[in-house]
Amino acid sequence: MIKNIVIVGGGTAGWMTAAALSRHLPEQCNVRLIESDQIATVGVGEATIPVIRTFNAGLGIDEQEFMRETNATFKLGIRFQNWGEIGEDYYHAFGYYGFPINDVSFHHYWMKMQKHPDTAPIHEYNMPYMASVYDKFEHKQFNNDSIDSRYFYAFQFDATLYAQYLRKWSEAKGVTRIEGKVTQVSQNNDTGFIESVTLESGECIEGELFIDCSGFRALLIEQTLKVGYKDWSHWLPVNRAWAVSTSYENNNTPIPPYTRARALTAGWQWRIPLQNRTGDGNVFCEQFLSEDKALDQLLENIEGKPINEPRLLKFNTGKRKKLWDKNCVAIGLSAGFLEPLESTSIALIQGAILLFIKNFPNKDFAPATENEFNRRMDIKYEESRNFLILHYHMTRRNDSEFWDYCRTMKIPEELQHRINIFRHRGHIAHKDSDLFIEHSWLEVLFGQGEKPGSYDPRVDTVEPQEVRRLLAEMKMDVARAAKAMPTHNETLARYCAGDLISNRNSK
Amino acid sequence: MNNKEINSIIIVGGGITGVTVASAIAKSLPQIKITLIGKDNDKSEALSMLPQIHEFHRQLGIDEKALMRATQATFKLATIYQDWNNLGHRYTQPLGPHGAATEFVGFHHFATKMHQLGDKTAYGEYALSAVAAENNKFAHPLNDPSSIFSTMAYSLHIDATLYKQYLGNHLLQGNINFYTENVIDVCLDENNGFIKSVTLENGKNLKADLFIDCSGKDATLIEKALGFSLEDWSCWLPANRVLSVSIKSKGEVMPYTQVSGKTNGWLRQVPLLNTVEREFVFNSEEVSIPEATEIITTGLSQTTFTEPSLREIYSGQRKQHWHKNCIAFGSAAGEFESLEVSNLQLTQKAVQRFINLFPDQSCNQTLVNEYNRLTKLELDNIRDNTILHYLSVTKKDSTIWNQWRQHSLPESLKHKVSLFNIHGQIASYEHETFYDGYQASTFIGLNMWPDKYDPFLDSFDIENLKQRFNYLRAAIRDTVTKMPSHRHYLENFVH
Repeated sequence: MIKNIVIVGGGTAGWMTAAALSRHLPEQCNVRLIESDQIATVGVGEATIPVIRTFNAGLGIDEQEFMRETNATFKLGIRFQNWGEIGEDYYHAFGYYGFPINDVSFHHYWMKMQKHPDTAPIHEYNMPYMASVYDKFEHKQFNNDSIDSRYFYAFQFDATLYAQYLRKWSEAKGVTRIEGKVTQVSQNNDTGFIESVTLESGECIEGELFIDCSGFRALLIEQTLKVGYKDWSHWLPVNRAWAVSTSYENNNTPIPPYTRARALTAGWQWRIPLQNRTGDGNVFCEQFLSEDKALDQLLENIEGKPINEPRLLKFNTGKRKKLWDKNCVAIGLSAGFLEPLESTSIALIQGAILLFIKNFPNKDFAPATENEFNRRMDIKYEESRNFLILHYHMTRRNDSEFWDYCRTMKIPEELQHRINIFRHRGHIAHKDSDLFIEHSWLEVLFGQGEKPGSYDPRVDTVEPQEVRRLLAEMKMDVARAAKAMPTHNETLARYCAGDLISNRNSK
Repeated sequence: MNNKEINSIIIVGGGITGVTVASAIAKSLPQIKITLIGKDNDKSEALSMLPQIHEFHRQLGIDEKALMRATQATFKLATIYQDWNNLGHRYTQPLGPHGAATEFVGFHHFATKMHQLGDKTAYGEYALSAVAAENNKFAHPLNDPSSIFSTMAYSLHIDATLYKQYLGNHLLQGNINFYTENVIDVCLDENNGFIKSVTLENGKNLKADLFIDCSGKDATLIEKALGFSLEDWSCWLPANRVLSVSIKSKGEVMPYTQVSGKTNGWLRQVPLLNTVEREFVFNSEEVSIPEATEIITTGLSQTTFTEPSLREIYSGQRKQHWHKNCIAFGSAAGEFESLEVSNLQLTQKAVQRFINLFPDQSCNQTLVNEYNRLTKLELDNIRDNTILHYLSVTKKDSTIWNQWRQHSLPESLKHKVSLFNIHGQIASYEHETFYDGYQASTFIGLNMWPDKYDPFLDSFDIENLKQRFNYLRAAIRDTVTKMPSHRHYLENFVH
């Protein structure tokens, strides 16, 4: 079997890969990771989605320790402001609208009853949504039968600290870290397989399998193997981001249990709350807004004070034509970049790692293994991409050229199909392979202001009086459960406080 | 809400497919007026179902006990294949999983490692459902994940005729109009191509908002009226005839379906409460009716079985299952030899899918596309699973088996086979009927062991692994020893 694995690049992708490989592969495998302290990692992906917990649990990571070490906060969802139209506000919360009635999804009943005076806006039937509105969070195990624990959570953390944490973890498991910059890559003359990389110091590192975690540089997969890039910027036109960290206004500032995404004139601004600071950034399209103006826009809109110099990131949305080619697999930004709106970056890294481990090659690198990995990763990227496009396209905004473009652009057929299905009578065409659950699609479609023409006809077989009663009951249960929850700040202080937060709260 | 909801449906076809579809719609959408047209031309058949039947029954509010009492049904834990790859080859395909929960590496990787270390144990011995089946034992599964009974999974063997009667009596009483005449003409709307009405032999003209074709191979609506032909799969699955007999039986009741490979086809035995239904599936160019009769009655004494009955089948699926206001189910939509999945199972799943996407009178094209897309995916996957069963057959004396083996495979299956062969991974496609572990168990049962297992297991201590396997086998054996016999359990359950 393959025993010599070389990971080029540290950062979130590199160390997540190293940790998972060292956990999963037998001891005789030699995993080495080359990184340079001189190359800064991007570390933008500070917000995650609930699947991250599966990854951490797979490594056997202690959640409290991990949260302390990475300044992590809990995340119940994403708050979208000004997306459907300026002034609108909705959450994509990691949970459900109500319970199904007679096997038919709750929202069909709501759609029928929405004009009735007793019917509340649909989000009032969604537990994590309401908890987010009140900055509440309680640490609970998911239970589908009970409204007060029928939600998932993820984390917002400092990606640089997460990489450091996993580095410690991986090194303890036997991963070797090599400091240095790769200056040369050698390929086999006949097969084109990568045989070794040479560092600035002249040291030559040989390997049987190379994992490209070199970020946007894509040192191996693109610069060496030239697999090509599928450009998706016509669907996801943002291509720049200004990122800055800001302090909280004061020690009592509520820490929201969600990431905020506020749409601006040529993109959107993120606010990711950590225990000790927030990460802020303006993601925009340079063709519609200059870099200078975008920076001004960012600084105008932040709430606390900047605590570092804003950094500019440049990217092109899309993905490599092949994530696995010959004896090289690209994971992370080297594989592609969508954009941070739905925090899919780390989830895609995780997906790639798990799929790669499942399809870990033999020495002969049989084509079926590579094909399977590439086939499944294409599906994952395309589905995430479609979910992101949905946010931009489903808008009524006409206040800038950027939004005019997004609103009127032609979207991928598969996404158009899903939208059409929803428009007709509120069905969600969901797939097992989707990164997000059915209700995530529902929340975004409703949130962006989409209104289906009709509802599932089975709804009419239940007495309207009974529907009203059940709706009222669910609304009351959600309100009661949300009210009973501690605030996110309280939960953090109790469960996972790093030094900073305990100081903040004790002052 | 621009469009009108559907108020009336005509179902053409009075067999079990039509009754199943009518029952499901009547249960979910009782406000709709349903008319069922046509005689019941079904030949008697014993159905060997998958566990998905439980969800169908739950949605229809069918009580398992009452149903079993009325339909001669028995429990099914597995399919046992006999003389399949070659004479003497035997394996059990359980409906429930193998092994215990292990890391995130599938149990079959552990078994592959043990196999390479020389473990000759049949893979089925690591599945409770398989061992119980082989010993004619049965008990209901438990939900408690800490109990070994949570690894049981079962389904039912049912007499199709009695099943149809049961559905008709319980779900269609008073709700439905029946006509036993045949449809002789179908009238289309010239403007939009929708079906407007059908005319019966007696001249009666019937209108509806939606038309459902359950007319079997006749495909009265979807093909004869709308012109949708079949995508032909006979190059991969050439069987086109089924000959069946019903045999009286006493004593033990098998909690499994038995499938035996024969020189020119396969023989299946499905146990019902007091009979065993035997079927021979073959191609009519290869085997004559007397030859088939000989095969099916071998070893039986004259008085114990019924007159053999012949049924024609085909291999393929309709290019469109749903078109405008007409949708086809059952053999009108698609059919192929039911090695693991019966045609009625497909209908149950299809009608649930249809109800979830239930249209209004406009029959929105997006819904139609989604339904057709999902249905095609499902059938393609099951087709591949069926073809897979023939890949390691090594008989040389039959042209039909050779055809089964030598025809170039669908690309999807080719990829699946090579991926499993390399290191036991399952290429899981969208909308699969069988979970990964089930597919792995098929490969292994067919002796298509992978070359390599997941590298995670390289670091496993071999003695420890052997101990765990011995323990698991013993635990399963002990559990099965304490289980009641299938007949005993059945008799207590239904009385």
